[in-house]
Amino acid sequence: MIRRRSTLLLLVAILLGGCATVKPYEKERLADPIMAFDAEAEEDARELHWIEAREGSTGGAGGAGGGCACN
Amino acid sequence: MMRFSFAALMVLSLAAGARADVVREAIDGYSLHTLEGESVTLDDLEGRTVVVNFWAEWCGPCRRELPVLDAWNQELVGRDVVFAAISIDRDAKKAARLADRLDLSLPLYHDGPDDLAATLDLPSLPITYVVGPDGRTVFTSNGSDPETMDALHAAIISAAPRSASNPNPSRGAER
Repeated sequence: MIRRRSTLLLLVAILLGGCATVKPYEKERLADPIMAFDAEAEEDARELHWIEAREGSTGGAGGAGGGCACN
Repeated sequence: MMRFSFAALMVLSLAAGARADVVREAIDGYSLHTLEGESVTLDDLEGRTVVVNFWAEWCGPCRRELPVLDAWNQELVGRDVVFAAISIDRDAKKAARLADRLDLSLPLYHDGPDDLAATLDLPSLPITYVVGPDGRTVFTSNGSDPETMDALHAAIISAAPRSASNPNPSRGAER
């Protein structure tokens, strides 16, 4: 039990050790367009449309709105 | 409660004063590079208003702010004010490319992210300090939205007295 708890604590400590605050003047690499999830948003949208048309799965990859049918 | 608020206000004022001295001390006599790589020293600042701007090529608001500062540098010809726009890009070539694209005549320098920026522990980017003739920072602007820029312009005008003998000593500075 103690060993389990120690392992868990060690794991949490290791994970927290990976957190770091980045100063505003150190954000050059983070600001690089290659770091963006959707660096090519237009291309991604086109691809998603193509997949949805092929699969008949509109909304399968996530969709906006809360189910109010207003989008 | 009131006594506590007053004490807090005093501490904040003292902190602001300390910050002011830190900026002037950090830039006075500091060695920088032009975007072409020549070494220059920020000296002869005594008794003059200094506008120190920190920017980077990768910072969108900086790209909007630089042309405005460039226009002010030309507009304030008759005032004893020195502009210093310091790039904190790792690669000076990136900063130089942006400067060429924006066609800036503002005195531009390169220092990288690890020296002056780290010494001053810049809380935002872009950030502009207006250091008055007495060496105290009279205004700090964070960002480049229109309201901030208006306030910055007013602060520069108020800090920089008109100079009769030396219309604009910063004109023709390195670039």
